[in-house]
Amino acid sequence: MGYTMAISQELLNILVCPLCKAPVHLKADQSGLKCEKCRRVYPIKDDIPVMLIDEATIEPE
Amino acid sequence: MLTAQVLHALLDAVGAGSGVRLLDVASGPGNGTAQAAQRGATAIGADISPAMATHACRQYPEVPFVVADAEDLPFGEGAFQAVMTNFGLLHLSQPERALQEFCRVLRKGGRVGLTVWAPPEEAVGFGILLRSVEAHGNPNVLLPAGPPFFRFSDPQECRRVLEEGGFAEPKVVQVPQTWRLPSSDLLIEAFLEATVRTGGLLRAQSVKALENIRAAVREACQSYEKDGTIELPMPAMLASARKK
Repeated sequence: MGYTMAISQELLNILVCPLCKAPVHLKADQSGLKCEKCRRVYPIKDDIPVMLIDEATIEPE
Repeated sequence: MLTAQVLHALLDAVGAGSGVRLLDVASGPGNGTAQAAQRGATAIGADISPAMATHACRQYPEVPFVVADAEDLPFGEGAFQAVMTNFGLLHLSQPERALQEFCRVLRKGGRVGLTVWAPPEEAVGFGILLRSVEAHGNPNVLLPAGPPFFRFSDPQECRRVLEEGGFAEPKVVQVPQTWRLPSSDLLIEAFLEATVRTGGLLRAQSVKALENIRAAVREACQSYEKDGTIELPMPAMLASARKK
């Protein structure tokens, strides 16, 4: 799908949720980055993390 | 590109080099981020426009870019040794909030650097254009939110805002840049196509007003012509400081 390893570990290590500043982790299907605190998921489009609060979806758990 | 002339001074001011993790805010087409990476920095570009980030990514596939809002940065505390923005602050509605975010993501002693245009009396291209709009068009059209365009062109204001934002030893210098144009009409075209707010100001003018503005610009440019090329001084203000 082209997502694979497109986002470097170095970048993942410093990315946080722009709203609550808690760490985010890459979802298993690599479709987005999920905030560990508020459960917002920031989509990854064309291998680029879209870290905008308005573009995030909130997952139930 | 005109805004690239000051880039090396900006990269020097933030100490872009190997071992430095650097964030380029409002990275646009990614040229500044890529230059920082070329100097050996671990550079990351951030832009609020997904289209810009995609464009930058295609131009520089080896450099990481993220879509992010300068006022709500998605990076942890102290993640960077350097944060810079080349003409980015001008487009933000809450520049103080962005500077707070820059401060948060910088580690202690880290460097911030930003560029804005010198005031229109010195950045002649702006002066010519704005005077022409004032004389022949409507200078009061509604534009995207933002601070007064030349607010940070004032070194005193720039230093004050940096100090209040948690930075020490703010330094503001003027860096000369020259805009070379084969014809004065291209000045209008460049503002229309490549600038957010001044372009917006021009796009909102009536056809008739725009025609008159064009004529006024043409006349004002004459005194800057040298061997068939118009050479307009367009200095930038470069501000830098250290996180306390």
